[in-house]
Amino acid sequence: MNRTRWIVIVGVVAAIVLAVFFAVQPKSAHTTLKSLPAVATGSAPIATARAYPDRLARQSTPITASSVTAADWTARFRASDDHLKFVKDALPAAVSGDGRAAWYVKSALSSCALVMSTYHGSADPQAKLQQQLENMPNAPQWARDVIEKQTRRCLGLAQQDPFAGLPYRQGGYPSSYWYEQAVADGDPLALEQRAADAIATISVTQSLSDTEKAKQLEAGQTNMRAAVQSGDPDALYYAGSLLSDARYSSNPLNGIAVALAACDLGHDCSASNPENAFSNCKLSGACPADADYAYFLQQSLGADKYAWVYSRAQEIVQAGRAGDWDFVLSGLTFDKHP
Amino acid sequence: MASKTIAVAKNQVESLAVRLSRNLSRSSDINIRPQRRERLAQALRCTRKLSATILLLFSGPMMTTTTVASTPAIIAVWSCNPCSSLSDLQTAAQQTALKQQWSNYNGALILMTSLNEPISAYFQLTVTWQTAWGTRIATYTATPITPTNIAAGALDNSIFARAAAVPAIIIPPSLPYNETDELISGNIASQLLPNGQFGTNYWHGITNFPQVVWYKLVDSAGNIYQVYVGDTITVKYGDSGYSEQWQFFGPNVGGSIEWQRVPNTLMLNGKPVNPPSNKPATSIPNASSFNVQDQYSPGLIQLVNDLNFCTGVSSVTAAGTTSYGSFSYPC
Repeated sequence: MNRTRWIVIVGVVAAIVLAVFFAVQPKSAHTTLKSLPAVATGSAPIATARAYPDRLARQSTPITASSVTAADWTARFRASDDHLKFVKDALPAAVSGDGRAAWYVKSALSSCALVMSTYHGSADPQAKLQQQLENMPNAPQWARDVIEKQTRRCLGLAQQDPFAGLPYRQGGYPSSYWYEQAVADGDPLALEQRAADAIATISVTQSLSDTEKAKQLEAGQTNMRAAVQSGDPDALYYAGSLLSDARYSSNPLNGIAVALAACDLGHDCSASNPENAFSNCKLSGACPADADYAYFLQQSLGADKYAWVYSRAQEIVQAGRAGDWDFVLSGLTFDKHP
Repeated sequence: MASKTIAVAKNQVESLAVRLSRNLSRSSDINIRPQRRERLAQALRCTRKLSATILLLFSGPMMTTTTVASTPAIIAVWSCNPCSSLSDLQTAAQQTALKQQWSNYNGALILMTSLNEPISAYFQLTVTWQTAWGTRIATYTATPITPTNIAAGALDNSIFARAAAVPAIIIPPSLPYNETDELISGNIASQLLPNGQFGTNYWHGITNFPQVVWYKLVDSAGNIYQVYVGDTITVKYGDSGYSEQWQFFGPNVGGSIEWQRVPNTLMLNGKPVNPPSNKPATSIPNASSFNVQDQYSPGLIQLVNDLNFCTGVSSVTAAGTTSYGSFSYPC
């Protein structure tokens, strides 16, 4: 009888312990990182959704899931020849918490900042543009074409304020505002840019102390890690590119391999993607019009190094498809600084 | 002559003593026992006396002159072609140095592979003795460009073939120096468009292959420049007299070419300035006291000019620290 009683008591205690254990068990690190935007900065704390005052207005409105995917926003932005129209289209989603929409609103404003400043209030922007192009007679025609295209797609933003319908905000709604929104929303591209900002700070500020540099690197690492773990192929490409700089990574070839792997995982690495710096090959004739990222790697790395990079990229592709982001991140570390 | 020889002997004894002291201090770092430390200290004292005696007895007849340099270092810039490895560079450095009649110089020897490439490496050159038989003994320390060697990076960046070849970018008067980074960076980017070519460069960091990504940028006159990520260029703000350094960061996330303002580089008519406190729209820290344009080595100009270089570099070593500067002249 005593023995049976003891068995029952031990069984009950064990059940209680197990129940408590599973009740307080945290979600896996992977899930946590994916669901929480990782925001880390060096010197300046970055606003989060809770701390950002202007987010209060946004939170008071019901957040509706945008029907446009991140990839759709990317495609729309790249194809846009009128950034005013693009911003107007993306604005409702950006205001509703779609980080990718906010990121591309930011990108439109950033890329158009110079045109908006130059052409704002111009009575005849077409004549002004013509004058600008005539002032560069020695520039190659393709360069003038690029300037003209970049200017034309921004002229609308120089003439009209797409944020006129939003509540008054001191300072308005500049690109930095939408950047912060995108970061707060955990958009992988915004987080990757935040990582790049940390590295840029180290690069240009010679007077930074080692402590401050370490702080910046840590911030960069945190944001880069979150961007990679999102599985976004565009963010993966930029993470790899950032880590291909040997000033900050002891294994820059691994960074290049990650960027190359991103091409197989969905990033458009062709010259058709206007976000690739080599897309101008199609216009300038300085390189093959169909040159892609792999082509340039082969040109500059040589056969042996490219073979290593390619092999490593294939491993990363497999890991990425399996969701093994720890493997992808294994060589992506800011482990040094100038 | 005798006094010089004695001075040399004294230097050698001091050098030996320093080395022994370092060993002793290293020993203390690893918690060596006190008895052993005492024995080492005794050995140090004995060695000092013994070394002095030996040097005084034997070194005088062997050495005719001493060329231990205390004068400012001079950097020579030489072409090295073909060079395909660090070993090639070391061989070239040795051959180049031995051909020269250097006697009083300590400095760095820079080897470049071509006019279009960044420096491949630089070599610390220290000419120490000249023996009675006329054989000069020079010591070399190969110093490849590494990410942790800021001085090397500065040297590299000063060599003309790189961003230094990009003429000053003139920003229109509508964008003063205290305008936002976004606008000024955008203006620079509109004046230096990528033509699509890019790659990584072996020579920029021989031990850190591939060190740096480069892009080819085209200015409004159609000139093409190979600019490396991390290169700096000079930006002039209209005819205001203000100029500043901006660093090439390559494409940012999203593909726009990005330039970063370099803190502490704002100048007014070539002199470092603090931006007026009531005006800046952007935060610009105090100007640095280091002005690379002020440091140069006139003695090197002829040497460099023979190679048709437009920009050279110099180093000055004093009190154990080395500062680097650049100079330029019309060519």
